Amino acid sequence: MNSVLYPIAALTAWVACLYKARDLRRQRNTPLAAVVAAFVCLGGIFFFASPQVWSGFDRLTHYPNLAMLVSQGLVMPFTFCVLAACMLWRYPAERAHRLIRRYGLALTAVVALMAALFLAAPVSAEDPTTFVPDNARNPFINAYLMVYIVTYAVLQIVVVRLTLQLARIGGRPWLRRGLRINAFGNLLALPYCAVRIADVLERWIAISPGRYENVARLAVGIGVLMPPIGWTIPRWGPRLTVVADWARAHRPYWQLYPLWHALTEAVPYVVLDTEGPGWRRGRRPGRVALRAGYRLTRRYVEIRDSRLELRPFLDPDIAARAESAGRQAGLGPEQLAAVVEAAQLAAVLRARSLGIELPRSERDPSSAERPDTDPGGADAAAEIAWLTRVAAALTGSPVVASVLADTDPRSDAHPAPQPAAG
Amino acid sequence: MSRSLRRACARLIRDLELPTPFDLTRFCHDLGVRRGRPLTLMEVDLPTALPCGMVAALDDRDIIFITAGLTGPHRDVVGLHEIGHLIAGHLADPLADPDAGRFVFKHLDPRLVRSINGRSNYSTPEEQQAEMIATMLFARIARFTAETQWSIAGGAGGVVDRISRSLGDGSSPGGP
Repeated sequence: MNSVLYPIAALTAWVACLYKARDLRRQRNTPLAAVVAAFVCLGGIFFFASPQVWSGFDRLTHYPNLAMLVSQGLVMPFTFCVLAACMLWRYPAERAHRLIRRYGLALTAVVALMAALFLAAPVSAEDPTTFVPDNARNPFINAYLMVYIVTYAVLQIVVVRLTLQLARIGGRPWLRRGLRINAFGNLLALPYCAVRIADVLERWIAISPGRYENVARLAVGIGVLMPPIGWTIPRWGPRLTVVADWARAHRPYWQLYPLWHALTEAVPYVVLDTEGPGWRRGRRPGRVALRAGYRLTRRYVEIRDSRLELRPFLDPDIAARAESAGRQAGLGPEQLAAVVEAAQLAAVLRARSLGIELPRSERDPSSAERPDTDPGGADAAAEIAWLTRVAAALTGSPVVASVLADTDPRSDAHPAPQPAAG
Repeated sequence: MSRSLRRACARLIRDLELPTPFDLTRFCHDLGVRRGRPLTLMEVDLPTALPCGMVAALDDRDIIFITAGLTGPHRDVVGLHEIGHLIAGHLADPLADPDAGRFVFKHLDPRLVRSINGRSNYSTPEEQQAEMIATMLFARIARFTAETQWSIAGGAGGVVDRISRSLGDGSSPGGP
């Protein structure tokens, strides 16, 4: 498992490193530099832990299992860099620098101690996959592991606390998500630590932690993918939201089309032509997506504006007919309101297309009562939902169709407004 | 409509801070404070022959008229259009639209009114620009663009700013 998982982990970390380093070129930013350095170390940890590299490195240095010391030794600068970045974000510069110095000294001491204990231990057989469980009984390796794991576990808890604090403080949603993903990755290190501690304790008490070895590896395997995701997602996560917005915006955009088309044909001057010819423009996902929100906004505004232009001509008689027909058809209140609206609009649009001059109902400006608010919603989403229902009623409702048929000015059976010019 | 106009509009609104959740009256007030010229919003029952929104520039203040009876979001768009005129610095002859002039002068001293912009159609570049600004601002506040919303816990702006400068795209909070 290690021979597949660890090289992938190393590669992922270094790809994330390059991704973050690109931003570093653009701006000098110490915490960002720390994150980049952390990725260099993280990649190194798993690079040296990969069985192929482990064996190769040991052959090169003629020291069996030295790769383990390098790999586990790199865990300290890795965690140090993450901590440094978090502290620079979390605290004012002076306090952050003081804490960073303190952690730096402590972790240097830990690495030195680890190296001393490892080198003091008798040289063991080369073992790139199960070295820890197999050698935990050796007193030097045992002490080495104890120092390493306890430091590691404590650091994880410190990092989890810090990142969760930062996530709570807020900012962009993707920033918070990124920090929480990191915290989750650090938490996953704890089962790994538990198994390793059990390895160490096995020297004194009779437990057989070997069977939990897979738990340790699985936790590490999932955990290691979290930093590359967590530290980069604030940068690319917003694009996911934008794509989701794009998808969300497109459905109503086309559902509103029949209503928009009918209204703007009657009132063409409300259309703001911003698109021009050529639908291929803006192929970058971000731009297309923003354009989708922009276009839905335009569609919404143009429907509302043209409806406002038609407002003085809406016929209350049509509304009453549609309402009673809708009630007979057993429509619910939401559908009924949409059908009434659609029938009124359809009647005005038909009159316009037939060239019939409708009477303009002007409110008495001296009247004290406020005009009724147009039917619709209180926020953008509710407005879109309402207009979508109206659009559906306009094209598909049999009630609207029957009211229109009953009031058709071209049919002799029904007394209708007379065409203005004969 | 040209790409350069779109860019110019985006530049004009880039640094504009919008209240979250959006509130037109509050935004007018904030903008008035920022511009050093009080900006008031008046909802009046405008005659149907007039544009549904107008902005009158007086010597020491600006007044936005919006016709009554619009739904909330529609009212926001109409208001943002007039705000677009103000941001873009459009100055229209008060007598360009006699109907609008008559209405405004009925309410205000004609000697004080320097300019009236009304929202009716997009035949002039000024109207196009104002409507473009309104649409861009509305697309920013409307629900289907969730990521542009900011929530910064009180007093912690420094921390958030530091993190987003390191991990985000380097822009400061408040940007689109």
